[in-house]
Amino acid sequence: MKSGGLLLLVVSLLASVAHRTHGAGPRTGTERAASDETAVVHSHTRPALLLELTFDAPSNGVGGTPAGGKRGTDPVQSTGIVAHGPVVRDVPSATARLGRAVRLSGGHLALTPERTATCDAFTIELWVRLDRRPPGIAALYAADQWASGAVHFNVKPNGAVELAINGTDRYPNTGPDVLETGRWVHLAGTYDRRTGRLCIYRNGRAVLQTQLTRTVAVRFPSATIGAWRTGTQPRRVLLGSIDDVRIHTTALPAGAIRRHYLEARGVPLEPIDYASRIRPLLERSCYRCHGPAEQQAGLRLDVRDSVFRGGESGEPAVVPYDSESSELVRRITARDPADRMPPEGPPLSSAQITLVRHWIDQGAVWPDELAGKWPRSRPSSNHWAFQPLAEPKPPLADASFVRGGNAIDAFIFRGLTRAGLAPSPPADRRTLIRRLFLDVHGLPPSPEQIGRFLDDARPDAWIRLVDEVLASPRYGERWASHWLDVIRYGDTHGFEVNTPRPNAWPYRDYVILSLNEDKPFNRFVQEQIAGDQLGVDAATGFLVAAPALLPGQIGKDEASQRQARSDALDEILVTVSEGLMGITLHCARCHNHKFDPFTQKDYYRFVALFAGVQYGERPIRPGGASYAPATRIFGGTFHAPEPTFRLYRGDPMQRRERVAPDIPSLFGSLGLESTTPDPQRRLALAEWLVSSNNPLTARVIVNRIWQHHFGQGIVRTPSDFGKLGARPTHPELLDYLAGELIRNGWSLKHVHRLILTSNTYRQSSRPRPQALAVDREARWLWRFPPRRLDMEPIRDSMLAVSGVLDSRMGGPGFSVFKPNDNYVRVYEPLETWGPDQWRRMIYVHRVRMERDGVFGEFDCPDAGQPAPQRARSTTALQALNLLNSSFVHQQAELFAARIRNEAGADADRQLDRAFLLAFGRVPTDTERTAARRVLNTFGLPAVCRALFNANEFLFLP
Amino acid sequence: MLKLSDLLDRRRFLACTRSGLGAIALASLLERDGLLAGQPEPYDIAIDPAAPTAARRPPGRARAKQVLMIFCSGALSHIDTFDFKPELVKRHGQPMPDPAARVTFQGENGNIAQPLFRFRPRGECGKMLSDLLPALGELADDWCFIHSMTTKSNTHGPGENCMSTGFALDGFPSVGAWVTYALGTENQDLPAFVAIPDPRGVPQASINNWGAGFLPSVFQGTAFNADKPIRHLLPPRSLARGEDAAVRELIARLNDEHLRRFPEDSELLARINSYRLAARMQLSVTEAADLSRESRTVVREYGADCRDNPTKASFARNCLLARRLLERGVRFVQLFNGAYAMGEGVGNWDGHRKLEPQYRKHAAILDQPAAALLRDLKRRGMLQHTLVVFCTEFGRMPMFQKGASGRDHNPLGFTCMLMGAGVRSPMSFGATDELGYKAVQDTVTIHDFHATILHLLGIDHRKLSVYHNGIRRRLTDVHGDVIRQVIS
Repeated sequence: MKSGGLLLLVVSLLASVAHRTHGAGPRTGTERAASDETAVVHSHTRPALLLELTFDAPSNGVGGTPAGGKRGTDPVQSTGIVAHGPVVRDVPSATARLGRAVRLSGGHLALTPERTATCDAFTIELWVRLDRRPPGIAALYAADQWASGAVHFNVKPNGAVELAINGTDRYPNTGPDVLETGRWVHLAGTYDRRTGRLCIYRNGRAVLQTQLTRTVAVRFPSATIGAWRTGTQPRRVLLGSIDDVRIHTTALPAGAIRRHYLEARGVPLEPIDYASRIRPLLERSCYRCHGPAEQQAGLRLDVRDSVFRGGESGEPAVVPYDSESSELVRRITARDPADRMPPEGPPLSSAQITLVRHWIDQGAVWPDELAGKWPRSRPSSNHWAFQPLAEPKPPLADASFVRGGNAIDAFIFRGLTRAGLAPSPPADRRTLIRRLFLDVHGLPPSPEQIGRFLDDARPDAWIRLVDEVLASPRYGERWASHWLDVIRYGDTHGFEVNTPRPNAWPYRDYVILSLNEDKPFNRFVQEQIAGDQLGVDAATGFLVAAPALLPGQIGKDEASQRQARSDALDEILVTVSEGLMGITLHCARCHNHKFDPFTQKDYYRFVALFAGVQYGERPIRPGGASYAPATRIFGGTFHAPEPTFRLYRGDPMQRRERVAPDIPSLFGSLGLESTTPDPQRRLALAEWLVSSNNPLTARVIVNRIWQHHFGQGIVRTPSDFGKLGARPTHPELLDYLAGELIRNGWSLKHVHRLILTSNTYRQSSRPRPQALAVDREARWLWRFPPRRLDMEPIRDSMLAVSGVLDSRMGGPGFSVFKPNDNYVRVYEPLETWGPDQWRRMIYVHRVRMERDGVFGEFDCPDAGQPAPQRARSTTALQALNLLNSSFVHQQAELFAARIRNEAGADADRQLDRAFLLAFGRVPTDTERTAARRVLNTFGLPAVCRALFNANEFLFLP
Repeated sequence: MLKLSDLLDRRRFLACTRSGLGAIALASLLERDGLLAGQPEPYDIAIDPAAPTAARRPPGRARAKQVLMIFCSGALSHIDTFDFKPELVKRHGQPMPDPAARVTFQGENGNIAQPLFRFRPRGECGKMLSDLLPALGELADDWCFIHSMTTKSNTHGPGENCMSTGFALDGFPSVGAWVTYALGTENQDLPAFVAIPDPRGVPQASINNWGAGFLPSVFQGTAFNADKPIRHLLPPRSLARGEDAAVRELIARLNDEHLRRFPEDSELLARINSYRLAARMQLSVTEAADLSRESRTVVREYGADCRDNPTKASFARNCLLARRLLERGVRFVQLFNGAYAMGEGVGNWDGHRKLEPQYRKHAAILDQPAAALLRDLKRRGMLQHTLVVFCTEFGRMPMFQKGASGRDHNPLGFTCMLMGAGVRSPMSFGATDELGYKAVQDTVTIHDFHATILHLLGIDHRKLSVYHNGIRRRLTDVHGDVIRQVIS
């Protein structure tokens, strides 16, 4: 200590007085308006303490008591600052009373010492509560002259705390989120020139310990608290309150700092024993509902892991060292009886509450031998879907089904054998080609295509046909629709106004194009997440595919604004996590996931990955290939990410800690910071999604492919591979296919080809009574499962058969509704139809909520929620639509005209041609007789209408 | 000729339920590993694909068999109708004490504004109700008022979604869809669930109000009204006599041939059956919608003959249609008063700017016909087994908006009503504060409201669920308590 004796500080105060009441938290603090005052501060003679500023008014009786009840009649006003402080008191050690603090609403405290102190070591400690994060660096304490030995104690915009000493080799900082807003935090920094050691403490615990290589003696000249006064204008202004600032001339040990913190909080230093003092209390008051017998809200207070992790709410019941953040304390002290625990009987006494609080602030020491065990407190990560991909070998079997087939057949055959089933014989060629075309193209084969295949005697005729079908652009048009269902793509915004989203379609075209050119799926995934960075602008339509409220539909009040943003981000999270990863992370929005190992924090970290994404459109830069010229894309706009907080119970008005962007911790970490800019966040995610560390992406997509070929996935819950989802019927086959995808350059067509050329796919779909009795749903695939077509192939087939299908690709969608320009769109279905509406259904303007007036009834999803699987229901309205709609009547007329044109006037030739076009075969005698009767009396269109309504027309055979 | 009954024995259709309708009922999956231990076991609802809306016995004690939901679209002001707050008169012109009321949905607000219509005691119970809806008010003794309703959104679309589906987001099944999913319907020749849009157009959240969400299409409400029959119900007039029958006959023949190759296929059988159902529906819907059979007295009582107010007459015909459908066993009828926004307060109850004249106009359409419908139901004894739900998406604020003489959206407190089967009346449940701003006593959430509706139908809202994308979805999300006090 080089400077002792009397030290006179002149503190000019441009600030206001605030209450620091730790117990009741920042919400009850009272604040006064700014005043501009000067106070004389006395010094003291203790060698270790250079400076102490407290703002406690003596004997006003409010210090340390919750101020909640005193709102409006704050005694601070009458006591004032000049009269009572700030003072430097002569104290044996740095004890502080919780009391008033100074709110620096843009003001600061100027410290002008009589002379400059110089020392080799120091400790600076203070309490601070940020009103908001500073836009740039803000000064907690800053020497006015930035000269050798000057000390600056700073807060960074990301909540990091920095202790900079001029002349040392670097200015260490803690990393983000050490300081949050709206809460009192005790900060301390220590430095010792001799050891080079520099530490920063938060609430009594070290958050940074580092070694400097070049050290200097420190100096305490005139300085400022709450700003850096250099020149005339204060810079680096801190917005918040401070209290109990102390500078010591030694580097205090960790224990001392910890003691200061605890003492300020009024926490006793004598350790509180869990076993003898806390456990009995919890046992008496809480175990009945949160104990061994019952675990309401998924919380067990006798198990340490459950207590520290929290129950279903995602709110840790106990945060060691931090009673203020501990849900347990919040609940036992709640004023609202609906919130307070225990719910029945009297609340805990204040002595009991204090005991719990102190125990937590001491670190919630809970001995290992009393930790307890409860498997449910931490959902298992052993779940099959989260394990790395296995590399299963196809099982061997001496059966013609396997010998003549591929690896798929080996796995399927084993499953069948285990279930006591046998495969079905191959389907006939007519059936096969019809199945293949309806499945892969969503259109029936033409009579000419059928003829060619029937006549193709080459041994690889089927493989050639499969290749031909996969090479056709009709493939992408059909399979894009499956993908659009998964992400609920729509050409309108949804909700009340449901106005058009006119530039959504380039994304739809991008999907078709990507499928047709067999873009590697890993690339497809990356482009959809970060296409703006990869030269494929249209791809990011994926991120914002969901319905969205337009600005005018959102309330002007803050709660509505925050809720809307929170919902919009949730939609992005749903699209990515369900669509690509098959996990139901959205279940962890309000509480920890109940069944899968995802915490609420995981949810908000994932949300933070998209915190820079806003719904909106932007120009498409030239370069990306497309079917039709596009200049703009509704693909999101990208901005500096807003901070993301965990939200208590998912309520946007109840922010908790700030979180950094990341993947769920189960899968590791992307190592991003809460300051990482937007594209880096998405790029990091995109890279991880298709990395070998991620077992989900490949499994999920091959399962979707399988599902659309066979009607059911290997996992029957295609967007939920979690614990509540279905287990795979053929886990090894799933991994085999995922492996095949990756090994073959992520080629989806390779997986299609593998499936389509398998014997499993080529089986007959005929029912066999014995097999039906064992496995009615054909989950083991003892036959190819026949099923009704989706609405798109029904409509497309009708147009193809009638000969008017317009196969033009890409571009803005066609509408099946009457034009309307009310500001809230009204969708009246068209009643008359023409060539404008005769394109494939993939190109329809997908209106959310409203469905096509004729075909929507066939379980068309409404693009509100993701529809990874469509229901297949049968209704009378479907029948009425196909029987009576003007659309079908017109198509029947057109079909008849085509037949007359191609088959001439002969009735039998007409019927042959009609059946061949519609069903891929000529009529049986019975059918011919029945059809002739109708034809003779009512003409060909009546027959055509019957064909369009027949089961055979609507079924995948 | 194959007979459906021969082919679809009960055990088999239970087995094929899941394949036929996709992944809607995976209850058994969820029970695995005791994952849902402690949660009530969900209903395993067996749906026959050939008759998916066949009547199903309610799992619990049902007080009501049918539901009539009268939905006032646009947010009907509780302040000016059902929730009497004398304090508003006293504090008329004063600023709102709660600073949070300064800025609401549309922005800045002005001062407290007293009710725009006079309140007076009605019925034997003497319930204070305003002069705006006198005929509905006369039924005071039959109503159970819930004055402490709250909802999750202050925007019309999401607000209507909440009231009709329990969720603010698009894409969830509507309450009518849930009910028909659980219970099917008594009359297979009519749709199980009918939505009757206002003569002026569909409500603000449109089809979401009666959508099936991720339930199969068959549970979606069929939307039609007295002016606009079901689309495609009948063949085009141009058809030759006998042609339609001949075409249907040919379809049946083709299907029989096809079925020979796929005997017992439940989906094929269901489609064959759907054509028969369609034929019956053509007759029965036409009959049900034929209002010419109603007596002159009834027509006059409803106001369906009103010449100087065609919208009222049209709404009155919708009310008549509602009664006729309920009479014929339709499970769930949703009757809308108010359409999509076509100018603030023009097409519905959204009175932001000039509430008084707008409300007079809408009340003239709603009051007489709706009250006549309720009286008619009562007279015919139909209230014994019909639950009437009178609702709106949210309420309105006790103050005027800045520079206007109308009120902004208020999701914090509003009034909905119940009547009929199993409902206690006269009854007033819950309360808003002295200004009608916030529900403060016995607060009721949308989930509580829905739980109560289901309860009256003999359904435990916690057990009625379907699996969708990782969650056992319920109408009531994970919330909701039955409001026991409103049950008789």
